[in-house]
Amino acid sequence: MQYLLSPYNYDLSDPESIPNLFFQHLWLVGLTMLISLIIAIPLGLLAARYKGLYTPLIAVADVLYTIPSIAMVAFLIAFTGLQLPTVLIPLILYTQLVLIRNIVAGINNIDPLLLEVGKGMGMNSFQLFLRVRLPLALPTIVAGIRIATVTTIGIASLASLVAQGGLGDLIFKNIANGQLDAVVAGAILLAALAVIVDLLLLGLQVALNRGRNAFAVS
Amino acid sequence: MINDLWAFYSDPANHFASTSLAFLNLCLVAIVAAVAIGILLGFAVSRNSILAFVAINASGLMRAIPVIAFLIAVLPYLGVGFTPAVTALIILGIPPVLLNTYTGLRDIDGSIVDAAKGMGMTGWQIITRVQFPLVLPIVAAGVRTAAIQIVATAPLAAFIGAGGYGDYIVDGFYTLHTVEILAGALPVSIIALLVEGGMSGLERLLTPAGLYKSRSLETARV
Repeated sequence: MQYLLSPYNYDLSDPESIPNLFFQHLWLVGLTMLISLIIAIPLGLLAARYKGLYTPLIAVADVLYTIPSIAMVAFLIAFTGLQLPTVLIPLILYTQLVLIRNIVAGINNIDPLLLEVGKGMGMNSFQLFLRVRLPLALPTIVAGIRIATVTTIGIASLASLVAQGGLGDLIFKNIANGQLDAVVAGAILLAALAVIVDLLLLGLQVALNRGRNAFAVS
Repeated sequence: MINDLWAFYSDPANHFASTSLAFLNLCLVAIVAAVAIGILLGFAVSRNSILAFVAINASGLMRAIPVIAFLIAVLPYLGVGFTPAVTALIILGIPPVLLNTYTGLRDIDGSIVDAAKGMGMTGWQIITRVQFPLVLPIVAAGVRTAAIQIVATAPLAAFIGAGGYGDYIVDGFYTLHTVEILAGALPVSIIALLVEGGMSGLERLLTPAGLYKSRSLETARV
């Protein structure tokens, strides 16, 4: 606790200070989620449209998801060395399973009756997608984004092992020389960040639901 | 690269056999204990709605807390070595098993239990012959999640001195010795994939034929 409370660790000019590591962590997570969504949204839309694509896509994402994160970082070190891609690639690959699955589930699990009503009102297929499917699918998609972001916050701590900073620095740089106070500070900040982001995105998810079975989507 | 790896494994200084045993031991003890505790708690909690509310929300929160933070958090209390690592892994593995046991029991159609009662089954018979087979595949899905999580996290436990393949990875990272890192990462990945394959096979095996089709949606939860 002392490490967390000491004002010396909040000196903004020190790259190892808590705020700087914190923002570095946020930047890593933000970048990962941005690239992940750019990849997952088109893939998810395609898989929702063409059913044959879904099974192989999920199978590949599932195998990638099964490989332990530290092992994947370890494999990549042999190819990309101590660079940003070594941690960014595993982080992006891990988010794909839950993102694609929730995008497809959100778009396809819509009550067909509502689509009929939309058609009956004279909507064309583009309007049907934009005004019926998408609003109804959004809570499920946000649920996927929420799980992916929280997972990413945790795994991004491995960035420290490939010299990319973040809150993992507090843990991995101090655990070897027994500075438990700093290690625990890192763990507390990491957990707090994950829980806060989880609750914020849960709030967004509930708001997007607009009163329809708010907690039904996991 | 393959030659380097082979040289690393066959070098007696690296104790490949005992390291493998340590890793498998760590995973196995954690998985078995987590499954046993998770199922027991799931059954216990399903009888009381307040307990259920507490358990479900605590499990949800546990899922949000990063694994590494959790491993570290037990360090000041339990120290370094096998026991704290295995304790952390067990606590990590309980939520998915508990949640699936609880939701599985809750979602059993009430009329099925009524039908069993109407046929004159006793309470014990209802548990063993009706509820248990119906809940088994859902519990198996939870066990699969728990097992994979434990296997994936076990190498990180080397940071708190648990031994196993994580030792190669940790050591390799600190000395920047690529072959040693790979020597740890390779068996860990293979074991994780084997566990995933074996567990999904088990899950399929435990699913009663009549439930097979309707369960395809159930596995879509993470």
